[in-house]
Amino acid sequence: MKCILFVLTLFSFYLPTQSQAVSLSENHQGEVLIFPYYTVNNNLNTLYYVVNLTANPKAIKVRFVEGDNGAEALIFNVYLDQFDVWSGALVPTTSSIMGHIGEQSVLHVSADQSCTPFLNKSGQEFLPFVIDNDPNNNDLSRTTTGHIEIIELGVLTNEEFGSAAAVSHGTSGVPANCQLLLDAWSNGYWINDSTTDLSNPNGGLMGSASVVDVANGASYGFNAVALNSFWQSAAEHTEPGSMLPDLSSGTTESNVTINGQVVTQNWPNGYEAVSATLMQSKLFNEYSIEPDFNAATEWVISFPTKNFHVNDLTPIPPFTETWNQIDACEEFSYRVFDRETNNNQNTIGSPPPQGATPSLCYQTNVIQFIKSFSEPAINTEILGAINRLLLETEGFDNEFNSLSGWAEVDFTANSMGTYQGLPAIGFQVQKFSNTTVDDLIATYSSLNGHKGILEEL
Amino acid sequence: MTKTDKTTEQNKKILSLKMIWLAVILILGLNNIQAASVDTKGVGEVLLFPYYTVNNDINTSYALVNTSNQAKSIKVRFLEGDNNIEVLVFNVYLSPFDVWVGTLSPTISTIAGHIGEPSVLHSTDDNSCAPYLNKAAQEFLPFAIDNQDLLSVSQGNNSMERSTEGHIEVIEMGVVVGDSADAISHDANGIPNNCSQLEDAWGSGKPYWSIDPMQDLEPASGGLMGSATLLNINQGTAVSYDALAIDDFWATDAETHTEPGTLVPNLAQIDTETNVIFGDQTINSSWLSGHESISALLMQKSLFNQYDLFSFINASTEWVVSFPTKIFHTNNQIIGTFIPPFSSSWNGLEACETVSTTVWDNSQLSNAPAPLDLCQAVNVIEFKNPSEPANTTSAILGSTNLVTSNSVNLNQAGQSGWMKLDLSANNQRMVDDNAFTYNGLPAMGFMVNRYTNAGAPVGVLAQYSGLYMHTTQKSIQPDIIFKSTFE
Repeated sequence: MKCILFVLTLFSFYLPTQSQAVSLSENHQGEVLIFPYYTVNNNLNTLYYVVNLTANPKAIKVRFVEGDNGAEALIFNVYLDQFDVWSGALVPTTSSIMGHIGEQSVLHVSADQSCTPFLNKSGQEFLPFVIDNDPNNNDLSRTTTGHIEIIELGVLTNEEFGSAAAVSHGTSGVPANCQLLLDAWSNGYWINDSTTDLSNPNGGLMGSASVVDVANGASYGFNAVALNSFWQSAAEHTEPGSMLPDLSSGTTESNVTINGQVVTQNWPNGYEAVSATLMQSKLFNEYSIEPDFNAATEWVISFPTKNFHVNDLTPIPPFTETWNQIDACEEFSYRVFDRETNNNQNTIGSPPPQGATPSLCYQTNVIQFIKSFSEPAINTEILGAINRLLLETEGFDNEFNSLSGWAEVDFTANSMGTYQGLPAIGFQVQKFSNTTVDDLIATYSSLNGHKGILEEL
Repeated sequence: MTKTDKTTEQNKKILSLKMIWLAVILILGLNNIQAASVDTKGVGEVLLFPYYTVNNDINTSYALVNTSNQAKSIKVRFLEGDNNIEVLVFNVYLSPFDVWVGTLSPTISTIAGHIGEPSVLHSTDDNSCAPYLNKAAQEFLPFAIDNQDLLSVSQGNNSMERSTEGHIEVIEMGVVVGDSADAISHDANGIPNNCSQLEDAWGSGKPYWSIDPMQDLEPASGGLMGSATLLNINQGTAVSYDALAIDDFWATDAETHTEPGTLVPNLAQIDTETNVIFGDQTINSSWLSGHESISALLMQKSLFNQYDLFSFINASTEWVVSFPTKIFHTNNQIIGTFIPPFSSSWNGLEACETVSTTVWDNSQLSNAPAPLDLCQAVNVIEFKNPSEPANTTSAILGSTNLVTSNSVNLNQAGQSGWMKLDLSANNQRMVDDNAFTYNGLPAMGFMVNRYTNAGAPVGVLAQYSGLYMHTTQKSIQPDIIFKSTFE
């Protein structure tokens, strides 16, 4: 009995259990990657990378999702070798697609060798088929910003047709037989049974991206957000153009760390489990708009699961408004502080003027900090965003101090279960410029992730 | 073995397995133990900034924000990059929602015994109270190195040049209330009401804190967030990172408030209980001392990140690998003694850990795993093409705590890819009081890359730089050595 108790104490934490709950990975790797932002506005390019850290070849779904309402703009599969990298770039283009000719759009290009059945690597335009469901709002310019999702579809094996061997680069640096996988989806074994040569996903994907302003020497680099244990066991391996799986396709259980403890919960839908892992009650970050340095600050706030919550007849918490083909606006409150605690709510107790409560109306939002009474251009300065919210750093007695500080975005009016807030990810970008010793104009650009807090009702 | 014996053996195993499952269900439910942990949202009682530098004319600016509605007493500590020795320590008193900013820039030391050495200048225009800090210009100081790192002194390795790169720690000592909180509170012009009162509290006049440092102090409550930016004006680049935040650093009932120049509290004052998330579980561990529990929070088996050396865009890449707690394990000032997981001791010049690197290009061509020695507290790995010789200082960060890693040494390999850094290659590990083994080393850091666009318009300095945190992998296992006693 003593021996058994000894074993209990030793092994009780370690038994390899098949994890059932999705969680936000705090080590930047997992089965699902979410890049909070891409853009091709302002002549920006977005470069992205996905790395397979494991010794297992994998099938992954790459999804580009536009920023108004999460409508899919481009989807394809990538079949990665062990330890392999997939990379691509998004550049601005003009649409040549019937019904949308001449509209601002996005071109995806890649020089990567990995197998991508049916993808035109030298240049694939974003597609209007899903946004055409919003006939009042189906200009492809909707797709010039959004976010990117990578979903692991499984580990490749050689069980029947040698799919794993087909992606092997060997020592040549080129996959052995991408044609095999193309045939498998044209008329072959994956049309018959998409689980052929696939075993359960095991994670180990990491990603990074960079929004690059080539002309001005500015770039904003960030790590992808990663989710662990998205799939309960097997994934759904779908054909390259299929819009599923998406963030609603995974487990309905979530693991959320709150107050230092991991809490497991079951939800009616898979997308709510993902939303739970992304919940933030408040976001905090810094800003600077000092005119002496032409400083500018923008905050990207993305809600990658918002469309699942707002596209039905009634909204699913924590969101409270439905998509009306134009927007779905959630009110929030905020405080802006300078560096010496002056803030935009100096008049404590006075109700704000009517209509002063700002809203975030889209799946991917950009907040631009501006000096009070200034009249900025229609697009934001750094990211060229149209889906933007202007926040004035107004309300200070000493105006000089209002040019740098920090802000708090408060979502506690919303809640899902016992969690207050909204499922938000994103970052702040800052830019400033000066003239160097050599009389060159230098642009300095940097990026900081949002900090936050999760509170319960 | 007879058939009956076998059955009995099998039955025993089945019985014990069933009991194990029962224990799993029971014990997993008993996980609500207060302990120190890393805050995944970047807000906490303690902030760790893995890297600062003033080499290559880089200025490092840092900011810490009090997002809470309580005033706080905070210790700000700068530690040099060879052996984690303090080079500047001061207190900052923040009112609710207050920010503290400062900038580190290169300078030449004017301190007796170190005149002319490359050093660091700390300057700030922040109004918040920082008793006795020369806000306009405070040089880093040699006293801790000279007085405590005697091995370094004997080796002639006590130049202030050591301090030109290192890391930063911010430790909340407590919440300030009462009369002291009023002194900290900012007026409408953004000036604290009475910073002199706080200086007097530690000095002459009305030295109430010299008499009782806990007057007007309550236990720490967290709410701090931080960021740092490495700015290279000449190169036209800026990269920024978020500080790592630690929750519940202080054990319940822990109280501290020390005068500005004091070297404590340091990271070893942390609660000896830790909660570490590993996969979908929270591992709760007890440690003999704070030295180990702070390391436990940072333990990683492997670090992963990318590199890019594409010549066409003049690409360069460096990894910062920082061990903020190394000093607690290697600096006993007795050569040959060390505390796991580190496996070497400081000898006045270095304490080398042999780790392993595996490098892949973007098409999974790879080098065989190769050993790499990380010998300082803060290390910079610079990537080079296979034929290129190593630098003496790194191109981007100007680091002298430098080691080199090469891209894939095959003719058909590309110049970009990624690397796995295995921190447990030499069996580095530490074991907690409950026989859990944490493999690897307590490391943190990021990758910095830089590109040049030679085709930029005339008059534009087109350099791009990015910073990406390392992807990590933990490995925490029950100590299987004990398994034999079960037999």
